[in-house]
Amino acid sequence: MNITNIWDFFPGFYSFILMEPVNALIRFLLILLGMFLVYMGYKDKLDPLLMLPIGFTMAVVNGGILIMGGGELGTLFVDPLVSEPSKLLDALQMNFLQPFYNFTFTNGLIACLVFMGIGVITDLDFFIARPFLSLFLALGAELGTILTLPLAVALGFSFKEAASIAIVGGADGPMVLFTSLMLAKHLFVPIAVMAYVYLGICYAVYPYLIKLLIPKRLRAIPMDPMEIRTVPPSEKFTFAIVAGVVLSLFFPVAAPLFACFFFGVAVKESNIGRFREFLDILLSGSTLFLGFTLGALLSVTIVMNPKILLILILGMVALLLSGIGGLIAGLIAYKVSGGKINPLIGIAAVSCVPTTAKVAQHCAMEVDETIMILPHAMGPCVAGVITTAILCGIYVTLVPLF
Amino acid sequence: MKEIITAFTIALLTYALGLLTCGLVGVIILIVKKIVSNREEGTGQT
Repeated sequence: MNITNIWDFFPGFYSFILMEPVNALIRFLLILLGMFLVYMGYKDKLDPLLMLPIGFTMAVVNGGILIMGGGELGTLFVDPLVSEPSKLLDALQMNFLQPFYNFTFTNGLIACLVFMGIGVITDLDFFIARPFLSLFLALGAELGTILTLPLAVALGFSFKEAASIAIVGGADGPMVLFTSLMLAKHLFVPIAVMAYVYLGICYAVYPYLIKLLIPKRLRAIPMDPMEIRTVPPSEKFTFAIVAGVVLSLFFPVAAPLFACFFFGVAVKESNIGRFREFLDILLSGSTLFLGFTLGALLSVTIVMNPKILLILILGMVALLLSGIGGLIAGLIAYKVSGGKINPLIGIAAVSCVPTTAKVAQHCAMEVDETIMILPHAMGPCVAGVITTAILCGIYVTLVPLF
Repeated sequence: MKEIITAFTIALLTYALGLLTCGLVGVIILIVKKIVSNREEGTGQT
């Protein structure tokens, strides 16, 4: 037995001493932040489906940093930066999440699986019943997706990096994963993690934005749920098949996303019980492993990217701009309809199904407890998913040409 | 400066293409609605 140092017994603590003081402090803060996110998820203040796995693994991975073979600091979770074949083979044998990361993250499979699951829980009724209103609001709520691109370029990011950050404004995790993997693989980790953490925070931040922009009397405008026509399953099924094919024809690079989402919808509407049950479980499993792996990517040895602060700021700006755009579109719809449309449904168009629709309903109920705008909010919410997928397809196709 | 102008061009082009594609999605919904309602009416008559 060759023990030269008492610290050899405690490699986790020893790695703190070996780090630069700033890194050690950030590592400590990441452990605290991870535990805080778990607490917020547990208390249902933030989305527990994401916050529990992300927060837990984030805390644990930063606790479990040790000295690796070459004397460098690392973990036994995952190394997203390894690419040389021999080193990758070593990492696959050593890091327990490495196989999952390499075979489901780097090729976008996890994004597609989550999107397929979203398709199977998405109700197209409200979107198909009022398609043009829903799409109008959803296009307004893409303000952040559009304006963040030139903002990011002005701050020194390349076009591909800027597009990957800008798509955070679409508020759909799978699209953020897909775009950053296609356009800026080297920034995939900070962008994806930031996007998922922010999407969890949307629920807490958007109500303040609503109170700031929409007067109380407009938040209380009632909308009759019975106004929405019943859409037959055959109509939704046919739309899913045709839209999937046509959009894939227009944007072949984003075809995997369209294929998965619309297949999920088709399974739901064709009512094949076994497929639906399987895709429900697949969504739960994919979300769990997505959160678990994203949390593991938040090790201080990985996140210390000099651009991370800018990415954090731009991500927040993108989501805020999208919220503002959605609410402005809601106000326009309110004016054009002669006061019949509650402008709150504009926030639902930011997407992030069904969180933003619930936010709209919650804010309306704060003014009038009897009000029910959720069915009307679900239309723009679903339209938001479709427009974000379309803009993701356009970015992935268009940006490499410049 | 040139890069920022190009970025704005990409952003505007993306939005314009997005607008057109969303319009196309809307048209697909209308066509599907028409076809499905015609078929259901036809089934009802026979």
